[in-house]
Amino acid sequence: MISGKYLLQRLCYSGASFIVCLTITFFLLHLMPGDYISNYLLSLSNTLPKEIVDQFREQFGLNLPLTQQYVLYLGNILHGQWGYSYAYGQPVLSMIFGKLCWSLVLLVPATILGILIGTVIGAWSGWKSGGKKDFAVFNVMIVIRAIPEFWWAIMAVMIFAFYLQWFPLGGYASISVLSTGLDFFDVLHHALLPIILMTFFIATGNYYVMRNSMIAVIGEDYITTARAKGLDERTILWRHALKNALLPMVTITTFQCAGIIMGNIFIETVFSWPGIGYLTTQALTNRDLPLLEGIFLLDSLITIGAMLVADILSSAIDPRIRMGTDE
Amino acid sequence: MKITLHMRTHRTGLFCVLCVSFLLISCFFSGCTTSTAPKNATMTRVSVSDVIIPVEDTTSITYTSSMQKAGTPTGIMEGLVIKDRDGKFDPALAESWNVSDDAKTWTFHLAKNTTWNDGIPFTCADVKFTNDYMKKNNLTMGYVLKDVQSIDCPDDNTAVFHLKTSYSFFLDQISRQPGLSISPKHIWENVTDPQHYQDTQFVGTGPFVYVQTAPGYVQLKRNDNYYGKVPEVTGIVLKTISNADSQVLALKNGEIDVVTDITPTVAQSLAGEKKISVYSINDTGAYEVAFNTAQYPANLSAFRHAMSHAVDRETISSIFGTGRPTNTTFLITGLAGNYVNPADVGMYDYNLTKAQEMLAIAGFTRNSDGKLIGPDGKPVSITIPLGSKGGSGNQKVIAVLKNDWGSLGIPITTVSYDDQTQYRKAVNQYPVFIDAFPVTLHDDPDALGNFAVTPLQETNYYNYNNNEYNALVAQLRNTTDRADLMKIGYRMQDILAQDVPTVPAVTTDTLVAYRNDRFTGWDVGPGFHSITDPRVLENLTPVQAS
Repeated sequence: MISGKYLLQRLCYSGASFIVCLTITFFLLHLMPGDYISNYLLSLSNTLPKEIVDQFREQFGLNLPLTQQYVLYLGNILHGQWGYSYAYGQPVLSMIFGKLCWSLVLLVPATILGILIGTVIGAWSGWKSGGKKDFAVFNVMIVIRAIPEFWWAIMAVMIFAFYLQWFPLGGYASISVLSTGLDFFDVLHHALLPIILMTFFIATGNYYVMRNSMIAVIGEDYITTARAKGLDERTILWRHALKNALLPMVTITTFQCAGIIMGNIFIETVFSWPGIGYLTTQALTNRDLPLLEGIFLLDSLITIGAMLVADILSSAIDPRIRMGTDE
Repeated sequence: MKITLHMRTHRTGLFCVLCVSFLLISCFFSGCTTSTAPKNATMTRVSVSDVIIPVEDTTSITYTSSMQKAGTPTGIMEGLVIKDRDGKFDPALAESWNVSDDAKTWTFHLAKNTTWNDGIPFTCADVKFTNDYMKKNNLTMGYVLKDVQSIDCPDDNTAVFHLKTSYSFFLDQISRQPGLSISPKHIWENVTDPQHYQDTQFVGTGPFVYVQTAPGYVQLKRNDNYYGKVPEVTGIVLKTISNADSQVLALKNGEIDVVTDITPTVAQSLAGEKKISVYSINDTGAYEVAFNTAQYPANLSAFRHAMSHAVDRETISSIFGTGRPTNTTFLITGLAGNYVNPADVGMYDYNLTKAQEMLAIAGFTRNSDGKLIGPDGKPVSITIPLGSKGGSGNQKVIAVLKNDWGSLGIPITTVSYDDQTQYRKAVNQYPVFIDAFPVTLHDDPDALGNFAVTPLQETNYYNYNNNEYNALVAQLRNTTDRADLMKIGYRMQDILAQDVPTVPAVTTDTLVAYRNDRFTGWDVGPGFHSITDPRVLENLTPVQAS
C-alpha cells in the first residue's frame, strides 16, 4: 500500500518534474538552429525580406530576451494557454488532439494486444526455455524484431493491400466518407492491417522481457514447492510463476502506454494515416515551436503520470512493496 | 477437465481484450469524428468525373487560407494574372492591364460580371482590401505586395497599383507561385484575428468551389458560374496518401487518377501499363554549382573560371535521368527563350585539361601526392554545404564533382543542413555550394537580380558585388520596352560570364503518371508548372465524356 503522505510527496515530485521538463523543452527548442519564418520564406523565394521576419518575431514575442519569453510561456502554460501553431495559426491543443485521436485508434489496441500477446508467449516460452518450441519461437521473434518496422509495413501493404486486396492501401477511410460520412466498420477495415503489424512488433519487445523474467522465476523455491504439492504445470505457470514474473513488466508496459502519445511515424507514413507522429515530424521540419512544445509537454505529462501509476500498480501487485509506510 | 477450464478462461480473456480494444477504437474514433467532421454540413457524392489527386496530408491545406499562407486548395482562389511556362501572362481576374512609362503605376482592368462563389460580386474593392488588410495585420503573405504603395479603385472594374519604386517585372512577382490571391472583402472584413482565424468556407472566384473536408479528404466541385472556361471535370478530390510508393500502387489500383514527381525508374516500370500514361513537365527544377565570391579560393576569379570547365553537365544530367544540361550563364533556355544571350551559351564547356591549365596559370600547383596547392602554399580542399532543397539531387551533383575535382587534386567533403536558415548561414562560410532552385526563378531578366546588391537587397547568396551589374539591375526595374530589357539582360549575362559567380549544371523535369482510361488532357495546353495548376485542371476531360 502507498501512504497518503507518500502519495502527496510523489505528486509534488511529479509537479516539479513537469516544470523541469517544461524548462528543458523550452530552452532546447529555442536554442535549436533555424526558425519558422525564415524557413517558410526561403521555401518560397531566394530572398528573405528583413521587415517581414522582424514583423513576425515581434508578433510572437520572439524579439524579447529568452528568459522573458520563458516567463511568459510558463505563465501561459500554467493558465492553460498552450499557444498557437506558427504554421497553421490554430490552437496547439486542438491540433494535437485532432491528430492524436487518429494515432490512438491504431496505437491503443495495438499496444494492449501487443503487451498481452508478448507477455503470454514470453511467459510460455520462458517456461519452456531450452526446448525446441522455445527455440523456434525465440528465433521467429528475433527475425521479426531484427527487420525494420517500415520494411514489414511496406511488405504488408504490397501483399495484403495491393496484391491480395484484403485491406485498403491506406488512409483513414474510403472515399465514400464524402457522401455517407464516417463509418465505423470502414475505419476499422482501414485500421486493421496497421494494428496487426504494430501488435506483432510491440509483442516481440514484450516477449523478450517476459521470457527472461520467467526464466529467472522458474528456479525459485516456491515453484519447486508448488510442484511438490502436485499442482499441474499449467496451474504453476499461470497462477504462480506468471504473477511473480510480471513485476518487471508493469513498469515497462506503463511506459509503453505512455509512449503511444508520440505516435509511430513509420506506420503513419506507410499507411497514409497522418497522426501525432506525422504532426511532430512536420512541426520539427517547420520549426513550429509552439506545436513542438505542446507535443513534448503532453508527452512529459503522460510519462510523469505513468510513473506515478507504475508505483501504485507495483505496490498493488506485490504486497511486499510498502512504499512510504513505516513498516 | 481442469485444462479445458483453463483454456476456456484464456479464450474468454482474449475475447474480453479484443472487446476492450474494439470499444477503445470506437471511443477514439468518435473523438476523431468530432474533431475533423466536415465543416460544411452537406455531403456530396463523388462523381465518376471527379479527378482524384493524392496529397501528402490535407492539414496544411485546410488549416490556413491564402490570406494567411500559400496552401488553399487549388483552383479556388485566383490572382490577377497567371504566368505560363512560355513566359506569357494569361488573364485571370484581370482581363487586361497596362503600365506607365516609369513602371511605377500598373492599371488592371478586372473581369466583368465576376462573382465570388457565394454570389457576391467581385470588384476592385476586394483587390484594394486584400492589400490593405494584409499589410494592416502584418500577414506573412503581404510580402508578395511589398512593392505596392497603395491601390486605387477609379471604378468597380479597374484597380490601379501605385508602386513604391519602378518595377517592370511586377506582373512576374504577383503571378509567381504562390503569387497574389485576391481574398473576399465581405468575408475577411469581419475577421478581427486573422492570424488565428480558421477559414471553413474558402470563398473564391476560381474554377472550383470548396465543398467539404472529411478525414483524409478534401472535396471541391466545379464552379459552373466561373467567368472563364468552365472545367470539364465535375470536381476534385484531394486524398491523403503520404507515401510515394503507396501513391503509385493506388494509381495502379485505380484509386487515384494521377501521381506527380515519380522517379525515372518508376516511370519506366509504368511504361508497360496500358491504362497509365507518363508525361514530363520539362524544366521544373534546376541545380547550379555556385561560388561564394568572398571565400578563398572562390574569391579568386581565375579559380572560378577554371572550375567552370570542371562541371560535367552531361554526366550529371544522365545520373538524374530526366532533364538536360544547362549551357547558359544563369537563365534556363527552355523558359527564358530569347532573353538568353546566345553569345554566352556554351561558355562553360567541360574540359578538365583546360581547367588544369587555367589553375596553373593562376598560380595553383600540384604536390607529389597530386594535391592541388593554392597560391598561399596550402593544399586546396573544398567543403560544400548541402541544404534540404535539392534533396537527393544534391548528392548526384556532388558525386560527379568529387570525381572530376578530385582528379584536379581538390578533395571534396560535404556538410548537410536540414534547416534552411542554417544552410543559408553555411553558404556564407564556405567557398562552394550547390543550389537547387525552382526554374521560375530563372525564367526572365528579373531573375538576374539574384546577383545584385541594391538598397532592397543588401547582399546576395554569392556575395557578388559588381557596380555595373548593380546599375543594370536598377535600370532593368525602370524599363518596360522588351527590346531594351533584352539588351540590358544580355549585358548582365556577359558580366556573369566574365565574373562566373555560378555555374548552372542541369535542369530537371517533373515526371507525371496518370490514368488514361479516366481522363485525357493532362499533357496538353500551355504547359503550366504542376498537375494541380488550375489551367491544367481546366484542360482535363473525362474519357467517358470525350
